[in-house]
Amino acid sequence: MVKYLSIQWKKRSSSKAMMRRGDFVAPEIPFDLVMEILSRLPAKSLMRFRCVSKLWSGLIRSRYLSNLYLTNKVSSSGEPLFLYISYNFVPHCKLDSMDPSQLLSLTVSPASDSAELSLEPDSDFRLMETMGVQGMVILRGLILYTFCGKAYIYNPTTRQSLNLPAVNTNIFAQQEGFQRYKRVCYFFGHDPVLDQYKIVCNVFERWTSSEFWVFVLEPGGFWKRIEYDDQPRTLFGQGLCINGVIYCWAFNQICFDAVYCFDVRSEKLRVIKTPPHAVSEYGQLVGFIEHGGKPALFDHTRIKETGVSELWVLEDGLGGTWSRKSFVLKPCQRHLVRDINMGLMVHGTGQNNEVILGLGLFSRPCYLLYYDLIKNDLRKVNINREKPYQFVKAMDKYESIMHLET
Amino acid sequence: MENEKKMITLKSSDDVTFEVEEAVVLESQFLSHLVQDCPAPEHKIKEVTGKILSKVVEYCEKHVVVVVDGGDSSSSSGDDLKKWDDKFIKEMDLSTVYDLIAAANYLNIQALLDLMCQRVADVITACKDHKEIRETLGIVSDYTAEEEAEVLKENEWAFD
Repeated sequence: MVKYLSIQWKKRSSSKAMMRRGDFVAPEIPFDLVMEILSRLPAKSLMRFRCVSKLWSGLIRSRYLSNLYLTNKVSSSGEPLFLYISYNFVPHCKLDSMDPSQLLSLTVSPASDSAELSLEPDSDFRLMETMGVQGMVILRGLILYTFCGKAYIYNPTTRQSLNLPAVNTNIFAQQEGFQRYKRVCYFFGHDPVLDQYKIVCNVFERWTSSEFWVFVLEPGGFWKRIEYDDQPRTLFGQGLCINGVIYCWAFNQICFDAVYCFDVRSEKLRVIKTPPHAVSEYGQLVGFIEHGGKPALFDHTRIKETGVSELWVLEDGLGGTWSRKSFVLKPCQRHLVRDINMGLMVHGTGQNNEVILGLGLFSRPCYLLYYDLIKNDLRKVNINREKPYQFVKAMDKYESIMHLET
Repeated sequence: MENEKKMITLKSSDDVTFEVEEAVVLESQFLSHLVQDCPAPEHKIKEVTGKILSKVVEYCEKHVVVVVDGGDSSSSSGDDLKKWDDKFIKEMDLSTVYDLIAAANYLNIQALLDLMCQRVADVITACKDHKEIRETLGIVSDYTAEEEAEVLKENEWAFD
């Protein structure tokens, strides 16, 4: 169905500029084609366009356009993977004694063995410099992060930042007096059916209580408590949102024994047990990744010694059936991991189910390892940068222009 | 199969006629359905003027030839085609581009529609600020001075 836009793309105008161009009136361009044209603009140009008129600003902020933009940019861009890097992060150190950290985008071309940094430091991201990027949750081109106990959502494409209201938990009050261990972490999900973004907050008090709260990212959004009365566990990592379900790996006092599954639409929380012995004693280094559209555990902790890594895939979502696959590194590629002195961290996944591995902090030289699990092929991707990277975060393949509001 | 080329006549809203091969017409989803359903030798397209229809025919003829002759050397002919497309759009003013968007949408020629939409997008991308976009597209601002200052400040980074 083609609706015609009531506004004219061009208006008759008696201004000098228009007279010079001749007195013409464009045909009415169908609304969906106007959106099609807008979705082809680079973000920077769209933000300039927002300043043209209120009408256009409204169109550019519409969810219709931001969804179209999201799909167009994924398919047309050759699927680059964005990684954001910040250096000079030293916890609790004086900010003025170091260079400002930077947020940079890095495009890794799947065909080449080196990555180019397009050096576009993002000054609005300075807020984050004291927390690094480890606590970042990436979803559809947006970044959820915490700073000084507050949660923010940042859109690196439009450089818009949104501060979420605080959760009114009881656990905070108790914590004041007893100095108990408590931990607050956030997860980010999207429901593809209703096209809603939701933030889940877990407030955890050491092994005694755990609360879950959910926030719908829309005007008038507020925190709502979710019923949950299972054994409290520590949630690990940033979680993964796959097809409307947020999956997060959880630790009881002894081992990583469960995956928490939060259905974004129904806001129901379910707990699935991980297979016994699925995870080695270095559980924290094991990657929780998306593999073929399913959540999976990637255990590479013995890859240096044995060349073997294990992949456990949750095959049927909430059904709780896990499959296991082993991968043995090709002998000619063993040297890529043998010389590494530090722990390899799983940074996420690239195209074609490639697992991205990187060295720990403060490492030099700069490179990443891409492990293609389909072809069982490991390759090194150099980052052309003089300084060592300190934090690398794999963004997803999306570029979003979604306007953030609560 | 049949080697003799079937010719079809297209008539624009202002009665300009174009005689084209059937293969050229098949580039348009709309026309290919029309030709199938109603096998008349001449088809009047009331929504498109002769000026614009000549551009559409020019585009379709070029693209048909390449697909037929392309064969194995598709990459080089693909490059040639891209060069031809670039030249095709460069010679056009925005008003013609809009007319072609409307025509390509009506006649359902996806590749031409993509090309034209991208052309408008490129023109907008080349504008360095909001004033230039307004002038280029003939948009009248409905911001008050305060509102405009605010939105400019919000998007300051996009103007460097």
